[in-house]
Amino acid sequence: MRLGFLVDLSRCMGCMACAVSCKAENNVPLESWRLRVKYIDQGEFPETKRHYVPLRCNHCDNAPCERICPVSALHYLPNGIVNVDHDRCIGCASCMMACPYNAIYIDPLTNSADKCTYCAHRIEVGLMPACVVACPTHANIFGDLDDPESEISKYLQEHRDVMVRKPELNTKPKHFYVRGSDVALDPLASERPEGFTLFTEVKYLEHIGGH
Amino acid sequence: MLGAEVTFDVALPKVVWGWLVSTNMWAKSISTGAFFVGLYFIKKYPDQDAFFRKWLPILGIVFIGITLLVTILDLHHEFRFWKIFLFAHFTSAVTIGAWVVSGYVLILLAAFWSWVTGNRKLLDRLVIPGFILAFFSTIYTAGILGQSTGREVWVFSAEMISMLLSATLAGSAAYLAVDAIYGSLNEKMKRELGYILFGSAGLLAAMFIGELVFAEMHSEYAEKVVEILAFGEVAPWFWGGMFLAFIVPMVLVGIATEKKRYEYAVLGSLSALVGLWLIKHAWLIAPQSLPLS
Repeated sequence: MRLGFLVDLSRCMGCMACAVSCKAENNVPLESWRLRVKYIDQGEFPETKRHYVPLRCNHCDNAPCERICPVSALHYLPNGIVNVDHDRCIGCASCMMACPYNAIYIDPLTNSADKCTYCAHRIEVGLMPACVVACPTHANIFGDLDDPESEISKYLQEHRDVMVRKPELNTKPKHFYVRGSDVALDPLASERPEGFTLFTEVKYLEHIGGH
Repeated sequence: MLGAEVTFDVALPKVVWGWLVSTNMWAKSISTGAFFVGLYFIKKYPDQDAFFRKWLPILGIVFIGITLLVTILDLHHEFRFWKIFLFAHFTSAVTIGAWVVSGYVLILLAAFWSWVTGNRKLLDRLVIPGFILAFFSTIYTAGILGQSTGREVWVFSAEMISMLLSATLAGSAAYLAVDAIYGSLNEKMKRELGYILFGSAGLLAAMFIGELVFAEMHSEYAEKVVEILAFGEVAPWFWGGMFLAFIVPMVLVGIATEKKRYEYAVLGSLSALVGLWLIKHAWLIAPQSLPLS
């Protein structure tokens, strides 16, 4: 079994139900995010478009975070999920340096690394991840990539525009996007102007790092 | 740019590894550099090696101690560092580094005991294992940077050479600085230390300049990092480091060896040590200044 995620970006309307349900399900602290939705505006009026991009851990088959973790706090589960053992983590933040998707954070309450686990605790008892349940448009499609009859496998077979983030890094992500674009998935394809976010001007966390 | 901008995102961590990690790399360069350069002089001048038999372990232990201290301080769970030995995961360069440095510390302690007791044979027997452990202690950080997937300017092979040159630069500079205070080196040795410093500075400068020129041909990410280094928020550190670590020492050591005025070499050494920290810090921070997602 290899569990994977697929997001149909044409269905996502940026409601953030997934992000909120993730926080509630996993008790994610206020300033941290296992799953977030980024808005990117493109073009000039009247030719404009807004992209909504849910971003979470890619649970790579060749995960740099698992490889660099010095104590195996980040480890694979038999179903392909990259899981975190908070009690073993020493807080070196190597995983944050290694992850090319910015998917890992240091929890300000536990001081351990944390990230999306595809709601491994829910999957264990036969439930879907919280974000899948909460999504009103069924943009999040979750399932077994090894099962050709699963919804995600069929989706992957039927769509020719399947994308992953940073394929050139050979991390072999198990998180796919359809009907996406470079603007949506490449962080260097859009500007991040200072003080121009819609709802907040907080850009960086104080908890970790610093010069 | 495709006429696109991020209009909503959450706050993200920016600099994950900051000045503590820069200090780690800097202090480790001095420690292992003192070991490499010290061994070279002990082997080459066995009749006049008292200075190096004394200062090799002292510099080595003091600066590897600083390295270990800042490494543990940088952990978010400082008191769990022992888990790296109990739950060792050997695909990680961090783990390999912890084990190799532990061995290197034992070698340094033995070298110190060798100097205290006057047992020269003890250090002589440890030359080969000591060299191997010092070598891997120097380059394991290159492995960590190389494993930092997505920070495309950090390439293991280049980082490894850069760290070895940093070590010889820092080691020779440290000995010249110590000699200025407790001087017992003859002119020939000072001149030779100056050559090592001059050569290391020149080669390291060439590596950084090469990256500035060629990064744009590797990837968009590498090009953006170099823009931040050269013109962005870390530019003062980077150019300050280039000037202090490479240009000033090369000029002053050149004058010192030409005019036999070794006080210039001491100034060059101090400048090299300060500059090396600045440039390591800039090199560490710049790739962390770009968004990954």
